[in-house]
Amino acid sequence: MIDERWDDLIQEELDGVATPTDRALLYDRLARDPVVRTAYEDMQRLSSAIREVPREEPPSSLKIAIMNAIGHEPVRQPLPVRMGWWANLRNTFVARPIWGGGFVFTTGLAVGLLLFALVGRSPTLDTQGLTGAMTPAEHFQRVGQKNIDFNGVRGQMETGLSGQGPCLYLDLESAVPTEITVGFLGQANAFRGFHQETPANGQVSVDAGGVRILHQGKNRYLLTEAPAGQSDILVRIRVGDATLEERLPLIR
Amino acid sequence: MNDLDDKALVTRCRNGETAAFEILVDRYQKVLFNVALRMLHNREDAMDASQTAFVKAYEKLDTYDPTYKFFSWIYKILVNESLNQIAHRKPQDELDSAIMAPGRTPEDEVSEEWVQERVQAAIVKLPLEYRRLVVLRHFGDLTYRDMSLALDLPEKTVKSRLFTARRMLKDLLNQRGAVRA
Repeated sequence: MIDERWDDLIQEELDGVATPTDRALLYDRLARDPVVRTAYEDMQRLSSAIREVPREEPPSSLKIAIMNAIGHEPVRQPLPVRMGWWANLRNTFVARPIWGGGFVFTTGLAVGLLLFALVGRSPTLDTQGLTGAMTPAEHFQRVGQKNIDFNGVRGQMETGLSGQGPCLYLDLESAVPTEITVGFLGQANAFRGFHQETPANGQVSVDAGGVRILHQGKNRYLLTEAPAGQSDILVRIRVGDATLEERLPLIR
Repeated sequence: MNDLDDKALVTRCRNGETAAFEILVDRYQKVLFNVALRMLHNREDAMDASQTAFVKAYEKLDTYDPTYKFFSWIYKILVNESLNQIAHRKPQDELDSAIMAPGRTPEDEVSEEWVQERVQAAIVKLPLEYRRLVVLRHFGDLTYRDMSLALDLPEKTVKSRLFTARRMLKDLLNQRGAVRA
């Protein structure tokens, strides 16, 4: 427990409002007093921890609702990369049916052509419904499959053997920001390959523990395991404070 | 019009240009939503509070005193709206669940998410008079002066309560081993 005077000074310093005199006093004390130093480091860690709490995007319908309530239709329909394009689309469709229809048609056509060009697969893949069977890669032998319907996230995951080894297909559609972590159990550096169809809807980081995807909108992911012989895969899907865990077999 | 400052946009709104208000919404919706979210710990409630705050601000633009910052003024409306929502809530047991969740496991040792969840849960555990200060300072980036305007409190009181709030937060997190190394 430190004197409250030092604690106040620490907080003023971390808030950037300490006077030069107070700051000099504090740093002199920090150099000599391990108790004050520990308190300073604790408070510093607290500030960092609060700073690290993610700032969330408001629902795209918020602005539309506000502008409608004051009797003014929004002039612009911003579609930032990480906003829920599905929610935006739905709201546009509700507010301006003709625009919405035109937008849906044009976007669908553009995405279809783009995927066809990039992925080199049949454009029928793009119109694949999430509730139907996923289109597997050639020679894909399915081992496990689960449908997902969790806190606004829908889709399915499918494991099996492709020509490149055990793999996971993950098809997701979500209007809200969703965090997905995937790990091949008990094995670091276990990934051999990663692919996603719509990079704009998924931010991906890979580390020794697994793959972390910040997902929003609709996307299809493919993860291929390194030849380590793992028998299961663990997928965690987190929306806000709620987490869903699914474990699927990779081999029969 | 995007380059105009808040006061100029408010003047335009008062002259009937509702499009100017759309720019204010663009400018502040994210930060207001996040402040409401941390106050209320629920996305739908945060959306309602943010929406009501903007609409009330628009309806009361004539009462806005341009000698103050627009965002201090709208924060004040938002905080009042959030407090209203909380006052009408039933006790939410689930709010306790995160902070009372099982302690740290070896797998959690390096988990940023684990710490973030505890921080969020600890903020919700703070009494409202302290929570609103932490939220406005850290999620709204308000200065002591802005908070004093938004909360109708003397600046000295803001500072002293904020410092107390952080001590409480630190204690809550230390109990769960989330902050201390």
